Amino acid sequence: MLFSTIEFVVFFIVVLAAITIIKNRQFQHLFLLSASLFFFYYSSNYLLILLISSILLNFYLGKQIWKTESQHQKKILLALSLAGNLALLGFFKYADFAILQFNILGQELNLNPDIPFLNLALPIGISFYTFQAITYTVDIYRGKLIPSKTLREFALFVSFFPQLVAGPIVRASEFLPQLRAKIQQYETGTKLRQIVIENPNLRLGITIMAFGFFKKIFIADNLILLTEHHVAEPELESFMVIIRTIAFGIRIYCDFSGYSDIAIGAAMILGFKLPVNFNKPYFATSPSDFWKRWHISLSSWLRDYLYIPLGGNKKSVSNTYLNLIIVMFLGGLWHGASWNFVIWGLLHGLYLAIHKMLLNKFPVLKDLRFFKTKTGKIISIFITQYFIFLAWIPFSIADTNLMFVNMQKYVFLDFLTENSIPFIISQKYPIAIMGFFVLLHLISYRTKNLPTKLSKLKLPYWILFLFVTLFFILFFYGGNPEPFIYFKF
Amino acid sequence: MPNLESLNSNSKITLSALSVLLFSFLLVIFFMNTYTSSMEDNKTVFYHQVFDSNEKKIFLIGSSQTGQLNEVFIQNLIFDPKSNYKIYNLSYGEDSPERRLAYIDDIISAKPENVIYGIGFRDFAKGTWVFTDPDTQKENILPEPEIYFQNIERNVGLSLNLDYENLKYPQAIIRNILHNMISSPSDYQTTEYGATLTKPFWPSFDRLSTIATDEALRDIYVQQCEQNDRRCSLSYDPINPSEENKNFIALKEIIKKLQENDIEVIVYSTPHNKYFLDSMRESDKQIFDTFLSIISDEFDIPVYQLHDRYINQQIWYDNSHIALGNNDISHNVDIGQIILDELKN
Repeated sequence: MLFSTIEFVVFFIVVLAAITIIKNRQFQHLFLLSASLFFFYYSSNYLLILLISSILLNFYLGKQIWKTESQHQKKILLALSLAGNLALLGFFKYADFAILQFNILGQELNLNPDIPFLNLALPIGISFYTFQAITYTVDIYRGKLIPSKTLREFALFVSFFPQLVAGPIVRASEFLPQLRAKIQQYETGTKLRQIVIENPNLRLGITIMAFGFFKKIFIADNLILLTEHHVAEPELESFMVIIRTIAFGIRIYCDFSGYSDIAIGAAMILGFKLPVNFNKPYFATSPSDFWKRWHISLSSWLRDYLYIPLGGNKKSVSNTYLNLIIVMFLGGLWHGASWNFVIWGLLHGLYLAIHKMLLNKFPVLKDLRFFKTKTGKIISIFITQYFIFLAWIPFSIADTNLMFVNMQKYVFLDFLTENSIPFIISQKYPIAIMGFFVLLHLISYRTKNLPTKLSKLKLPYWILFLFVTLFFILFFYGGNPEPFIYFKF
Repeated sequence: MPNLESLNSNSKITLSALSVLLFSFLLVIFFMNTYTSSMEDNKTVFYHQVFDSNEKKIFLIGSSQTGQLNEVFIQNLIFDPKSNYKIYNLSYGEDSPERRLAYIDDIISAKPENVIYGIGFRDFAKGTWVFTDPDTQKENILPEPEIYFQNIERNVGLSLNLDYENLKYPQAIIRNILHNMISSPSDYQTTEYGATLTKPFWPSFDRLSTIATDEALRDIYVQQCEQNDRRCSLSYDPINPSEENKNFIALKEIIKKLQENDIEVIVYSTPHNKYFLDSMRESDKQIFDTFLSIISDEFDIPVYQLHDRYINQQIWYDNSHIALGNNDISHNVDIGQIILDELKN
């Protein structure tokens, strides 16, 4: 079920109404679990079985890991859990990619293997819920988490509908305590530990959701045609590539952070806190700063469950660089079974490694006063974003030849305008939306906690804010609810 | 005891949010209905203007595929600047013979010499046209609540007497209004991207101007199939045979009326690229060919089959629209030649 549809609005209103009516916490959890499974079933039909299998596998293995005394057995059980999760992910997401590579390699060696593709449907959200499930068993193994006492509780953690299909990737250690200790803030003397829709959460949640819908429907969806239309090479000029690349950067940010906002807002209304996933990434002043601001739940997951286990920066300097590249390579592959994501990941790995290398070689750069001045910050932002946007080219173009032509035109400017000017004229509408985004992004950067401030406006002003937001959303609606980009991952 | 103040406040916030939602929807509906009628007014104004009495008008009609023809280029290509002939491109998006029939008397009243009608597969098929690949269709084992919900949504729309198709595209209308606000009429005459005096109903679909790569076109096809995975087979219904097809009956009615008023009619099948044609059912292609033959025989009019003529040329904006930006693409030249040949005859 897409967030940006009438179906979701109806679904969410029904869920809220039911949660308000049901007063028993266990029934509330049961209802939320059923609603979440229905939410998944609505779009994924029989693939629901995969989600249920993942829940059962990880719940029972988690319990066994906790119970087992022997460290060796714990390791085996953890390996089983990881193998199960990664097998599920690997089989459904990467099987055809692996077959294709195998066939190509075979042809190079004159073996002509010609293995047929499996043509499996990619289960929506599989990358997200398997990563969430991994945090559960790994944290139990590390002794950081007590396993969930009931299957209901664990199932709700994995399948909680706001974040089920595209994150944020919530860790068990963040979510389960919220389920267990969900006590009404304004305690009324009853013993019921129930989900209560609280006034400030309701307002802030609706405000954050409105931000999300605005980003997705007004900005991201209106940039689709500009970003998905690849101009053929003889007509392609550098300015066209730059415009398209910037448009894609804006679109993917608004698409994904819009989804995260809706998820965070919806969860907040229900009284749950999901981790922040984006923090104005296009104001990052270095590649490492970017990854502290972009898809934070994934980057911190990669850090805690991959980079640190690989040795992080505790071994040699060269090992640190290599670890960064490996982690980002796998991060790229996580996005999809395609070489363009691998190239994107490798580029980011290189950025991080080179940035670290520069800081190691010239430690003076860290404390240089210039970079703390306004001009220095602006220059750092521009340099960083130049490379971040360069990396969006492989992310957005799967065809390798076209990708390299675009990257070449982005780096080596040709200053041709013969096709660029008609292109700009023909794309004036999405370009105006890009300008609007830049303005709003600046305002939001300069105004800290904008959603919180808006949610605390007097009721008439808050209603006006909602109306203006909805006006833009509805009047610029393109006709078809577009799936979120990260649904594919 | 629950905190009553908090509950009251919650109700107030919820009610406010729902009221804003409802009010905004109503506003959109009102706006769309108003604008739709102003579009109708616009058509009336065009057809009932006082044309130059010496002008010999040639009307290109059809949907967005015909809209991609550059009538100014064709005019300059085949006619002398002093010629009395003037080509108008009267296409509009989502046109169909049934919808066009409503304006046939207006077309006749403008007294064109010739009408060139671009007809495509989707003129005769119901439903949202999405590329389908019958070989990769996957059947769902379990019931699909999404379909039930969409049916409910549609029925509610119908019972409230809403023009469902028009309501789907507020953005296109807003873009058109913005375009009209920021462009002066003289701009219209010079730009080939927006509505012009010779292309009066074509909104500023400024997106259809650049040529896509073959890989991108293939990807569009793949993406559309993936995104509509479970509905691919439902999204375009098979073309009904001639006796049951309302659009075919309307097309015949249009041609009959034009001929009764001594207006020469030429029909051509609108071009599509290979990914589009490959994704179609063979049975639908056959029925379409039969339609063209029936028209040609019954009315004795020239019918040009262009639907598969440009499949290997790099001229496509997407799988069913030739890019508008280039003037000298062969489709414009071919239509120009067709007009010339017919005038000579």
